Amino acid sequence: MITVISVLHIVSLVFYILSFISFWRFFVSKRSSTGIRATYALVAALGIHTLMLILFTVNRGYLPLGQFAQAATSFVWLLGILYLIQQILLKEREFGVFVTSILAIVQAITVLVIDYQKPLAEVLQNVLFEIHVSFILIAYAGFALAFIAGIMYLLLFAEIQRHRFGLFYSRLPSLEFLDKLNIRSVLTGFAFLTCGIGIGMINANKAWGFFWEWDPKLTVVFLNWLIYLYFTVSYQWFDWRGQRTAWLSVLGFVVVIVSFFIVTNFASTIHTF
Amino acid sequence: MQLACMYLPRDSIRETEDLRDILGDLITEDLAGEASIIHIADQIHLYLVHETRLPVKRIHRQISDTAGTPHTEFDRSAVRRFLLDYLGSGDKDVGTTRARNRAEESFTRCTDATLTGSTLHGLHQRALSFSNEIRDKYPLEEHPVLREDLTRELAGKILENLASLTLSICGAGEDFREFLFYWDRQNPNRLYVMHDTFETAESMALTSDAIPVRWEDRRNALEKSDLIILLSEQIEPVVTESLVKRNLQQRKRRHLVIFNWGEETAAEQSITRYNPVFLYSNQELKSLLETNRTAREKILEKAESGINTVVNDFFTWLYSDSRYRFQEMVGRSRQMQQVFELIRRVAQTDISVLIQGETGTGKELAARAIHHLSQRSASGKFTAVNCGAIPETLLESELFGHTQGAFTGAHEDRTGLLLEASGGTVLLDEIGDTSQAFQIKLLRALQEREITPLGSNKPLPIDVRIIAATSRDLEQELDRENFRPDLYYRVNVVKIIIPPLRDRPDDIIPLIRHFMDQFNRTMGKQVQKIAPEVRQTLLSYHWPGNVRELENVVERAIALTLGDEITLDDLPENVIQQEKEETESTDADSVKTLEELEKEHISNLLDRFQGNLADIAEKLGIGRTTLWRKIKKYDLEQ
Repeated sequence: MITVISVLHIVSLVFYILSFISFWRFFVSKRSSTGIRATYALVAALGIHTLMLILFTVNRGYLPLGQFAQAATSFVWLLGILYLIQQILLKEREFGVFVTSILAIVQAITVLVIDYQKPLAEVLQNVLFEIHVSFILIAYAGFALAFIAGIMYLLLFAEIQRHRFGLFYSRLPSLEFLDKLNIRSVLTGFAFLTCGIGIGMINANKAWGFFWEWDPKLTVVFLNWLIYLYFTVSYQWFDWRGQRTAWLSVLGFVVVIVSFFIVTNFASTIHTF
Repeated sequence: MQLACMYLPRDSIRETEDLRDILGDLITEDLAGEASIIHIADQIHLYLVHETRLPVKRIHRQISDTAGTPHTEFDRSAVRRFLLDYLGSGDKDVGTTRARNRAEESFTRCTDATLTGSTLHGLHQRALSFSNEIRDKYPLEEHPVLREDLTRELAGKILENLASLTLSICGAGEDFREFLFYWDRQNPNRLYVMHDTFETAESMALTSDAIPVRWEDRRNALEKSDLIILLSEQIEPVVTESLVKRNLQQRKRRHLVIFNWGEETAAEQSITRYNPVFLYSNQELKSLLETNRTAREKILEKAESGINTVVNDFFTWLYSDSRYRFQEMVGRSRQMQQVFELIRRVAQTDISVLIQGETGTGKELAARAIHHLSQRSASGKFTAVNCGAIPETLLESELFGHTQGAFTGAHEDRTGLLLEASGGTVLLDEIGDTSQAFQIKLLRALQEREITPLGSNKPLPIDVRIIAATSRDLEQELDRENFRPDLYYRVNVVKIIIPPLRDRPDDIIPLIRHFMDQFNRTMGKQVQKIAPEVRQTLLSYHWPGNVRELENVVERAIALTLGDEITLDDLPENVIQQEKEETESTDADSVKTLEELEKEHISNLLDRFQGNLADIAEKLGIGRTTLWRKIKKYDLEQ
């Protein structure tokens, strides 16, 4: 069973890469037939990935959230689904190349580091923990989307300001569209992040007997929450928009990467991952 | 074949009439010359086509006298220029449909049968399809070169949805109207227009969805706008820093875009400080247009090989016999070129056409050509009915149909031809041979656009184009009361007269070539040459049976000839016979003396002027006494 799961894992990675290549070719050529093919590749990758996650859950008896690699592959799945929904709603394929590049990279990392045999720690075997991780992962997927929108906003903005109309100008949607996408993604992500942290604190109290500890991981997460709080507040009360919100989204997601990938794996923390 | 393009300053030739004056030489020559002018923004290109270079040179000299020496290009480069004109190359609106439409329009203005002919029409068609092809193939749209397109393109990259936009256009002048109607077509949420004179704004707003705003009330409208277009206005009094601030506060979370096509002022600096405000100054916009134009010209340069292919194809066509081909017809003569031009024009509409021509001149082919060039070729077929060949009673049931038992022998219902041909074209040949009774019925059918089958009382609607043809002179038939005038005026909206072959000797050789090709193919022969004496005989024959007779003569010759050349032996007796008679008769009373000629001439004049010697003497440029003496001498007194 484990072999089947790991094979599916690798196959899904192959399809994510294929979809990335197709989206890239679509971005350059602007041929809609290539774009449709890219979407099909993404749907196939997500299908295989879903099957793999279901088999994992059935086989192990818990959701694939208990370790860094498991959570990361779930994050890939969430972001993929989120983007697919957004693509269907907005009929916009241009950022497929950016999204699928993140999907392919993270999935590749999980293929390398995942360990199917390692048993799940006792403290993590409860529903609250699963809700906590799911919420945080949904928030991260939202921030990832906002990050992409922010980057595109800044690239397009630079081209428009300099009147130098190059690669991005003829391909990206309008600034306003990117701005809205950024704001919506961050607001959704922030709501999930806040709830996720709250549930995590309840969990921590049960497992460790305290709500909070200034551990490296938790500190970075707090910083992350502060950044997105700042974003939300300045958007709601100070009418921020455009470039500034785009920069904040980029910064916020960089911190997400630090907390999720770097701190988890390279700093000593009581938080499992 | 000489093809030239002269570059003239704008306004040196204005209308077709001017052109006709200048081109008198070119047109009156025996062999048809052609000319057309294509308007460019600051130039006019005069295209001349002639068999020889001489008249073209003469016109060049003539223009030099009045408008200064025009820059002239010949042949390949002239054709290239023609193609590029339809793309607007070198012009402000390069590569737009506007440039193509302008070229097409100026060409159409010259499609007077005396000015454009098959060569230029061939070129025109190629230029049209070439410009479409280029615009489909290359991404010209990505580089807008028209002011309106540029504003839309830039706004569209910043603002999300143009249909949910509130925009203001303020200014004056002709641009105002253009911008107004352009943006009105984009269907914005609200379109405020502010003009120096409120009445102007108001009157323009009547024909659009725009909301006219008084100059005093502009602040309110501008504060609500996502997009502001300033035309020939200084930015300062209209858009101020405080207005921008208010604007950003009022409209939450929207980028503000300002296009300033007017003068630049210091205020621009203070406005651009605000972050989501994009202000395009006049200078920036102009340089963007220039960049896009350069980009488009570069793209057109890339299309170079495409142009060469079209030019090569055109010359291949030009030097082949096929250029004299028009649908299934062949004709090089001026008269036939005029007929072709007329056919081209009437094909565009459903107008009634009467084709008149001797037997064998190709009336049916002309009708077919009209059908094939019209919209109806897609929706229906072409049907020809020879009214002279079908008995009167049968003709009626044939065209209108009949019900079962309408007359003896009508065993079943029959749908009329006019109903069957729905969507298509029906040619009623030899319409002059029909009876008055039939003419009345036909007139009814034409006027009411419905027919009543024999034995039925329910009229059925018809949708056919009816073309009438006749070999008789219908006006004479009118006089003799053989043809009803009401029907005559109904069918004779446009009359196409196909001249008899003897009146257009220019067509004989191309026709012979055409039929030789055709019969060589069907008979599997390789007859390529015509003996010189055969050529001579055929050219001087009077062709009572017109093209059909010529066709039969060629068919016979190809069938009979033993070698690869048509010789005199292969021609029918009557063709050679007439030729001989003519040579003999001219031999017999051959050369007249001057005296004989003088006598004949004076005798004719006496008849014409009814013996008025004073008039005749003046016409002849001799004294009255001299004339009188000559009359005496030749014994011409009545």
